[in-house]
Amino acid sequence: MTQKSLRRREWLELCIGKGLLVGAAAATSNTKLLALWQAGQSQAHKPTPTEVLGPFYKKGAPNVAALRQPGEAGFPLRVVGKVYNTRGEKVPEARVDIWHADHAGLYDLQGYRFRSKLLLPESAEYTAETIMPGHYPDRPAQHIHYLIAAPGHKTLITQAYFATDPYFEGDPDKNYGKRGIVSHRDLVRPVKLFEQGTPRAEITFDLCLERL
Amino acid sequence: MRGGVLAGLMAAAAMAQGAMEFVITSDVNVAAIAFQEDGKSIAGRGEGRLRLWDTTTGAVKWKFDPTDGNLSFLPQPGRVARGRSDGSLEILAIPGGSVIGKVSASAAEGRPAFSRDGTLIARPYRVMPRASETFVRVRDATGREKFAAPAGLGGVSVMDFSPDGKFLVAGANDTDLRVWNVQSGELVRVIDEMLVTMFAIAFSPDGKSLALAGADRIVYLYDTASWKLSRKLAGQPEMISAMEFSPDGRRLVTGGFSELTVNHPVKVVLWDVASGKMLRTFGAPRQVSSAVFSPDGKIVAAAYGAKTITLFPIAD
Repeated sequence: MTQKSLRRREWLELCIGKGLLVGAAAATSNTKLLALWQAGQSQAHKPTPTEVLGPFYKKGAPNVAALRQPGEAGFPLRVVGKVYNTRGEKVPEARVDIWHADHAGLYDLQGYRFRSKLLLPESAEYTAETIMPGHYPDRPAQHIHYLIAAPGHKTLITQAYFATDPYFEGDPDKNYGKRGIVSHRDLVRPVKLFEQGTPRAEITFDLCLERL
Repeated sequence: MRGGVLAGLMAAAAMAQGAMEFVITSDVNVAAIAFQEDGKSIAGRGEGRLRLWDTTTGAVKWKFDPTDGNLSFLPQPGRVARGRSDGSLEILAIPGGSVIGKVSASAAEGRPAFSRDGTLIARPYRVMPRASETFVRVRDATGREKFAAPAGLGGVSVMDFSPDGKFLVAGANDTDLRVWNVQSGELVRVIDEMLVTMFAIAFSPDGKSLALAGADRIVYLYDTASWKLSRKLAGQPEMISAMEFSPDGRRLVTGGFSELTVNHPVKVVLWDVASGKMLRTFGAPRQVSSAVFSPDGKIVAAAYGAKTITLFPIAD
């Protein structure tokens, strides 16, 4: 995808340079034409919708994929995804801060329970083994917070929600916007259930960053 | 009403004996409070409305029910700002509501912070709704911009001017705080050593100390000559969401915010600044949204975003 995109850009620049797009270039400058093309390219993939950061972010979380300790209360959850940008390029240099409440809806502010700042492999994919976050009265939809920073990209603050959450009353399409808590339907992720071995849930949450 | 006044008088008499707290009831949920008329009255704002109560009787002295606009107290007594739909601010008199001034602004700016003399106004804003990046803009009393600057990620959680108006401090939900020289707009210091978000900010009256407190239950005292951390006060049993120095700077009051929910009971704590000791604790029914001293320093008042405010008498 990356190579294809770059080849298309090179091809377009070549065309403009050789005057093969003279008609268009006469109406506008070469620079403007390139900018238009780049603007179109930048929207090739929609950036992940943003969400509020919330008051419970904690700086300095360790880079751990296993957020769930043995014997931890709560239903096991695996979260997987990849980090890419609006051009479709993977962004392995991104740092992915994730944090969420425990099964009872409490955030750990004294330590780093259910908090991680993930470093990514070259594939820019991530996996976190954790539990389903609990509900808490002040923000009644279960959610996982994300803060993703990467050089050359806008920092993304967002949240993942769960389509199985009773908050959505079995119909996230209809109910995701109730009480103004969830900003965008795309943030409500389908939940897969695995029954073999230790039962667990799994969501996929890919993160698409905007380039600066 | 007469019964309410009688109850107020009885409560005030009991308070004078140092026996108990005095609860003032409100018809609107009160988010923030400010003593007025040299302590003879206390104003509460919430739900876009304002009430002014007699601090001795608890009787309502003035009601202000504007049709729209957020209200914010100015540090000067007798002043409240009303945010209008065009982004401008009207400065109104307490009581009466007469217009004292107007500060122009662009739309989509957040709740203002004012310098002590009311001549500087800082407001947070975002370039796009729900954008991650937050900015602050400082204007003079005419609305002329002095400077605008990036202020971190996820929204501004605390903001205040130093008492002399020379510095502005703003903290973001990403846990970083920034200090600007207001005249030059220069970024003087980024306080990036906080691990959690700060929910409360207070300068000592002499401006030499800046107190910050938030999600980790600790009060951090910074020396404003160096902007370095000088001391920590620990002991509040929950997160801290409100804070103020006493008028003489010797005491500090903090109000709690339970990790469980805003509706969970918490503590109001009175601190001795010099020794760092907790002098008194008072029970509060839910998250303390505002905690202030009376001008004579003899009463601490607390609001909870609910239909009561409490006056706690404090022995010197």
